[in-house]
Amino acid sequence: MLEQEQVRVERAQYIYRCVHRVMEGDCQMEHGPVHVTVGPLLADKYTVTNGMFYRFLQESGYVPADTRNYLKHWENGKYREGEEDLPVVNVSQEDAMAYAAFYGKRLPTEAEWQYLAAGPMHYTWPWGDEKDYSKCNVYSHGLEAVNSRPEGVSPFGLYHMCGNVWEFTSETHFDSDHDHYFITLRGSCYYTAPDYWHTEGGAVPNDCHLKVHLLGNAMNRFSTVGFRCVKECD
Amino acid sequence: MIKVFQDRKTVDIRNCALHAVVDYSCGLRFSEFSNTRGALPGSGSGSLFTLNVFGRDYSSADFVCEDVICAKDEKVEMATFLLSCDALRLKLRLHILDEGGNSLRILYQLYDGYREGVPSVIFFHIPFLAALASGGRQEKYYPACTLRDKSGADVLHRMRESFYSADIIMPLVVCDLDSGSGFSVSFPVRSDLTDLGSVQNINSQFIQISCEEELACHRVRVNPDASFNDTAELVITGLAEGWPEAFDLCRRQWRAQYDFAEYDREDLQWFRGCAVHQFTFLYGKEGFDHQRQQIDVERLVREGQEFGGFDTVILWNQYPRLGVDERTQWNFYDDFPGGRAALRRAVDQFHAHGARVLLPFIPWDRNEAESTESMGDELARIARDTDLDGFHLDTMQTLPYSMREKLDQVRPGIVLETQSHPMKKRTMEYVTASWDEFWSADPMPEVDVFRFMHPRHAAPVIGRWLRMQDKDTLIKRAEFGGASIVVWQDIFGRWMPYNQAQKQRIARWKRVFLDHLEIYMGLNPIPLYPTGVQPVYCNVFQDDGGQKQIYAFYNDSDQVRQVKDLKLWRFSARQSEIILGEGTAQLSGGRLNASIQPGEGLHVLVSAV
Repeated sequence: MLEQEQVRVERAQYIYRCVHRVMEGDCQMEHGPVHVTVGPLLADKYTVTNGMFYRFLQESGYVPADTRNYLKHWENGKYREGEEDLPVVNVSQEDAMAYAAFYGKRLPTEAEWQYLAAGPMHYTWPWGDEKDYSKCNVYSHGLEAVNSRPEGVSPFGLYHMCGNVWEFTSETHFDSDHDHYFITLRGSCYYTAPDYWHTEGGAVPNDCHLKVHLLGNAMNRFSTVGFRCVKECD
Repeated sequence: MIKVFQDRKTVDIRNCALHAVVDYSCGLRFSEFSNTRGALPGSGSGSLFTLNVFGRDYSSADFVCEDVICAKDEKVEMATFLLSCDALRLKLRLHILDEGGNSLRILYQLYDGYREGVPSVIFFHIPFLAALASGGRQEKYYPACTLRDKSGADVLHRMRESFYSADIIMPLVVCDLDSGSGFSVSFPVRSDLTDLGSVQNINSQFIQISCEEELACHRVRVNPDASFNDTAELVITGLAEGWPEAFDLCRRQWRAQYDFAEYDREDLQWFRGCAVHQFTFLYGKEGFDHQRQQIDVERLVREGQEFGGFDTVILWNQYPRLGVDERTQWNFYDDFPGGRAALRRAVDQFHAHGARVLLPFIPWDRNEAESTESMGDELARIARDTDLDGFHLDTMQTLPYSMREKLDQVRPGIVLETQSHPMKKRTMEYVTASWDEFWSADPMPEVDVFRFMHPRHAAPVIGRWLRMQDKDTLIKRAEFGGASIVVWQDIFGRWMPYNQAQKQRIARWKRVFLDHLEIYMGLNPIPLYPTGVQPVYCNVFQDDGGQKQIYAFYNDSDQVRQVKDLKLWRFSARQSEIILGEGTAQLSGGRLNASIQPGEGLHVLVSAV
């Protein structure tokens, strides 16, 4: 079973700007460009796997208050044989935060995630500026092990920052006084819904995010969304 | 009656309203075309066609009239002219049919013998159309632009055309303002596709004519082959009462093709009596209490009271969330906080407050495993689980009738509403409601033609992205068009509320609308009734018993305008009363005089007793 590895990312400043496919309703938050500072950080090389999350449950005893759709792809409280190194999915941002906190980590901010994916040269894709679907798990039919496709790693050596699973970031947004609770996902996933009006899937550049409105835990756990953590360091 | 005068080479055609003389001595032209119903004599002459072939113009005089045939049966009289041009290897059969009544049908059938062995490019033009509009006729209504407002925009919002034709097509109308004498020309479109290359009949191009210049200079590419198929078809009617008569006639002819029995269903009538509809994006706190994780019915009801009360709410839990993973719209009903049971509780609560509930059906959210049958079953299951009152069908312009049947098996009274008007025949018969949704910021004094052609179809007004001042005009559009309104403030996460004055105005309109529902929803309203005063527009609504009418004026200027001695539409009134707006209104000698405030509307009720 794969063990998590972490990569040190030194303190850096860069001009952050995020864009996205604009559909109806827009996205009420700061998209930059703004000058930001990230790091120093220890960043997870892989998205958290089923195996890692299982160990977390054993060690922490974590049980969410609302378990609807929680780890619904598991059987009898455990991942299926052979799926230990697949990214854990069907967890909410709250579940992911609980995992991170237990290990003294946290989810990356949007600016951190983008820097981890694009590096100081603002690469369009984790591996560079040239589109190459062979380096990522997109437009496919299922998840892959989190350490597959080493040719597609980001400038810091992080895996699957494009494709496989969308990733949670640490931010939750409540716009103005008319509360819409929403989060933004990063990195895209293997799955692409069939219609134009569906949310975007497939290969999504490093500087793009996907707005997702929150509506209860059953709605907020996805079979296509996982996470990775970062840890602050000196 | 049709008579041939071979010595003069003319054919004389006369019916209840029209008198036409076709001169075939040199080409083919009307030497006379007049409306015998009208107070003024008719419209002079005009050539019946010209062509442009191989880059050169040819008139009908370049063709030889080989034969003239007259025929008659128990109902129809017909004159047929057979022309040919050997140099071009072209033939034309032109038929003029008198089918009784006030109209003549003119049918062109062009035959191309492919002189070069392949079909060549041919453009077609009917000079006679422009000749009809000459003779000093002041009132002209074009198929693609019935009436322009001060900015030049069309006031009568047409059925949207895309790759296929709508079933509702406006005629070309030319008439005198005072007498109402004139002509209406309809262009029957039988091709479902608007793609010019796909069909030989080019009427879909004639209905694009939007101004006098286009009428005079139209040049339409035709697609004949070596058969006499229909190329163009005109039905010309003699008018005595101007635009209202033309519109009424157009509507009667259109309705005759339909069976609207679905609209007679008692169980679906409730929707017609709804004035204010609400669209709730359930991901915002307008309709959802995130702390308690449940639909906030009480809050929505309180909010609705400011608008005079929401008669329906659409609880929207789908787009734009669909597609992040494989879950479908059916899963979204299950995964909604509290699941279907929670939706059922909310529906029950709304019912207790007198509001009905619509839920979404998303036609494009269909995975490979689903079929029409399975989706119909799921739709019925939603209805059964939630006890909803209707489905909003999103972008769907049609719905398989089997789904309607499955819903009827659940319970009666489930209304189907689409986002845009149904375009084609069968769907118009059983989808009984749709939004009059428009996207322009300044929708006044635009009128939704579908609302007037098919008033039994409930068509609430909505403009989703309108900002403050634009929302004022949205409300005016509802009032002017005699329509209900959709209040949508949370547009998929962007909060765009109404202000207090707008809420009060909607509440006021709701009272007026419901107090006079049978008049506003009568079967035979007339849009854009001529007022003789520019820019004052008027829609006329009348109850089906013929006892009352409402004249809904709108003054699109920045000064008070007076309408003087307005002749009522086929109606004798004794009393008048202002029921909406500020101004004055009096009947004098059976005619209506009114003053209307700038930028405002005025609804005047007139009654026979």
